[in-house]
Amino acid sequence: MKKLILATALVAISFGATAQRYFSKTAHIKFFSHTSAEDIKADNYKSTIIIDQATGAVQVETLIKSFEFEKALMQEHFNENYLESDKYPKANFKGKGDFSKVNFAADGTYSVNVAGQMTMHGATKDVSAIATIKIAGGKIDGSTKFYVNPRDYNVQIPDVVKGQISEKIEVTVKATLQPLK
Amino acid sequence: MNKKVIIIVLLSIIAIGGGVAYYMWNKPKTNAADVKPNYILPADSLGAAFAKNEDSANAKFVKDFVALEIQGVVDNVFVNEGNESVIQLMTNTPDYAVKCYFLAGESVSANKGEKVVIKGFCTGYLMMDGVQMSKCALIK
Repeated sequence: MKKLILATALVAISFGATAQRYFSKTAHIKFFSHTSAEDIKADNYKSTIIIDQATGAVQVETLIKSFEFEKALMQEHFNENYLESDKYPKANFKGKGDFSKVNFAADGTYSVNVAGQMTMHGATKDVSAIATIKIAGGKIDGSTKFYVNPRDYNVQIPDVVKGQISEKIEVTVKATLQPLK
Repeated sequence: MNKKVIIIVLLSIIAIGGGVAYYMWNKPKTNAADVKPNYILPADSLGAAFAKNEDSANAKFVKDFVALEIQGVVDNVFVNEGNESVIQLMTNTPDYAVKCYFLAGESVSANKGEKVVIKGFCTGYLMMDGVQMSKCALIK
């Protein structure tokens, strides 16, 4: 009987151990604005992501001043005039995804619906996207793409440059995830 | 004033304005090497300030034109996917290390355990990661 209890306990522990959290501190967030007048892109390679497989919770954080533009002047305008990063230094996403179907221990590719709320420039809006989780040789890569309208986040764009900044900005997130021990 | 002088003055103004606009548009990204720091403090104090109250630390340190000079001990040196060199400084507060990012393409030389002084601009705190500094320059 003792052996049965011990075996049951070990099985319970091993199941618990598979329900893990996964994270990245070097997630790449890129945004891209395309208009006939100009293409603008910015990259941030220092964002954090954490996924809790057991609860489905997913959280992303990024610092606005960490977005790098091709031109120094663009970066200044982005921070000072549009995103007001002195006042709103951070953007984040908090949501949930169906990560329970992902077997992080074996090779495979999964599409996961993720939905939640993104806060940026003091405004919070619902966001949903399909994320891809690809596991190959023990490496876990996550990626997703969605679109935001600057107006939804109260970003004021002066009339003089309205034709140069898209109302549908493409946001791409890529990260290599590691188990959180 | 005759017309010739007016035309020369106007053309000069246009040329100077165009030159300034061209320079501003193409001005290079610069690090904090030549900037006078507004605050001089140990990495541990910066990490502790964010751990104590992130909002007040943001209000004090995360400002344009507010440069910091940080003294600390190197914990890790690496280059990220954006080709940015990073020096991570130790602090006594778990999850509140100070990560100093250099301009993309700039190489840095520092070893774990070495005492360094770094100037840069604080960009804020990220969960699980720590306090981030950008446009850093290794002073010594």
